[in-house]
Amino acid sequence: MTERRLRILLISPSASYFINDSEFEEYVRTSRDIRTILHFWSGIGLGLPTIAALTPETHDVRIVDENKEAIPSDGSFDIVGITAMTHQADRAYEIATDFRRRGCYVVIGGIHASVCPREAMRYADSVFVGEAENMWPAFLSDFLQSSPKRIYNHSDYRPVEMSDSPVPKYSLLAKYSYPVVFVQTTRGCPHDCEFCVASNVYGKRYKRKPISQVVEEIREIKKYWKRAQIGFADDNMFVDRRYSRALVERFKELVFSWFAVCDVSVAQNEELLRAMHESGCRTLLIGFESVREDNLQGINENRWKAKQLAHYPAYVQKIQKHGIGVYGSFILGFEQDTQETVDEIIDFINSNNLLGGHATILTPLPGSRLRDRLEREGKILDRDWKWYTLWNAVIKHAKFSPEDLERGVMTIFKGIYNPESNKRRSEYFKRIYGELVQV
Amino acid sequence: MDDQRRHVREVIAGISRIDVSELADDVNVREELGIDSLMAMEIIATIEKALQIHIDEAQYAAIETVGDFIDLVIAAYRDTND
Repeated sequence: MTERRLRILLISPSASYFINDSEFEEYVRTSRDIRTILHFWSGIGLGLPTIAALTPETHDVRIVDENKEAIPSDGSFDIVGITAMTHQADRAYEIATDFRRRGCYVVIGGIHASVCPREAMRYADSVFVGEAENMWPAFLSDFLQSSPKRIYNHSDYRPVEMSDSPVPKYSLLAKYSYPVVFVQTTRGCPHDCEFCVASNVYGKRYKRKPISQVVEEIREIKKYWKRAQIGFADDNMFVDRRYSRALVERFKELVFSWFAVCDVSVAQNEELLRAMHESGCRTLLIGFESVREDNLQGINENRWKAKQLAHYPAYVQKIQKHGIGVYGSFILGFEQDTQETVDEIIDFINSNNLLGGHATILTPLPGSRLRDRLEREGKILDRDWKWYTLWNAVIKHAKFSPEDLERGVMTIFKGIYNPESNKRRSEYFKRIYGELVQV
Repeated sequence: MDDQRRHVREVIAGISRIDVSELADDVNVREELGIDSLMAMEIIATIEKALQIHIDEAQYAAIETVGDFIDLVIAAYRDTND
């Protein structure tokens, strides 16, 4: 018997960064430095091209990134799959409602549905909780037999290994010109930070993708995007130093430039840093979170981040002297933060010549231990997901009003991105490259 | 000057890891090539050393295209050698 050919539409909803504070909104819209940061993070997540790759070739799959094109207002689809992070959830539900009205079978997955499945079930026919690799084929089989379940939970299936994850169907995204295309080499992070959702959903086990497959994925990307940088969308790259060293060696033969997210301990391995720069690594986004020890004490149960604080300046210097810029990620709104913290963060970034900084407001994302705690303490002020962009204050803080937190983040950006700081940073990096260059 | 122009293009290609054939004069260095301030400093430092010239890094802020970048280097080369 011939299998029915399904028409599947996969949608990534628009991710507008609503900002409550009008002055902050104006600043984000007009600042060239902030536009550059957002530009480099404007790639699409890997969920939908991975789902497409898990779908047998016998079916028709189309992906729509709503940031790049409008959702089709006509055409019939057997299945509409939508992914969403928390700040995209409201838009995802609007899209789901519209397609159900059109008679399509709607499924929702991604990080938000994984932590709020009951909420997502109000808008979707089936909801996916966790990693899709083993659930999606099961769902397709159930759908073809007209018996799809209301909820698919990865814990009901064999644990996902990175070798189960196929090469994402990048070809379906080739219609878009992304400045950055993402690849994932590992999943998991050992630190289990209180504000993080990923380790609660995907577990703490650190999983590595076979290096040969990572190489294949990068080659695939280079077929479609000749100028794009590659961003490694790992929760925390380089945790396994031996794997990282072997991976980076293979990068050298591929000729591409890249950036990654990791923790500051990568600075402990200078041989790896040297190889990273030689292989095209430009920048690392590192979660410093805070420059106050009392804040860092409470982030991880093993106080890992607090123990690194004294080493932050030396580690930044070690990384940057290899020609790799550090973007520091900082959070404003920890319990011990005061108005002085804003200046302390600016001073840390400027005096250590960090290439850049990214500041966000402490946000109790659903699925995080932070949300559970702040819920118990009665400190959650706003439950409307559209404000969960990390640039809007949704918490009650003893020393900051919500407006002060939003202005505080803007002040940090203005303090690190201004003509004087930019000039000093340029001179600093030019000196570094002057020493590294071999003619 | 053709040698210098070719050299600049090759340095940009080498550091950005983008094939030299993609580096037409009118291509935007930031939005199309992803050359941020960090990569620009590496390019400038490399060219300065190779051509024995000085480029004022502050001028990178006004650069929009590959052609602008090349013109900046050529102007610095002339200043040094005239």
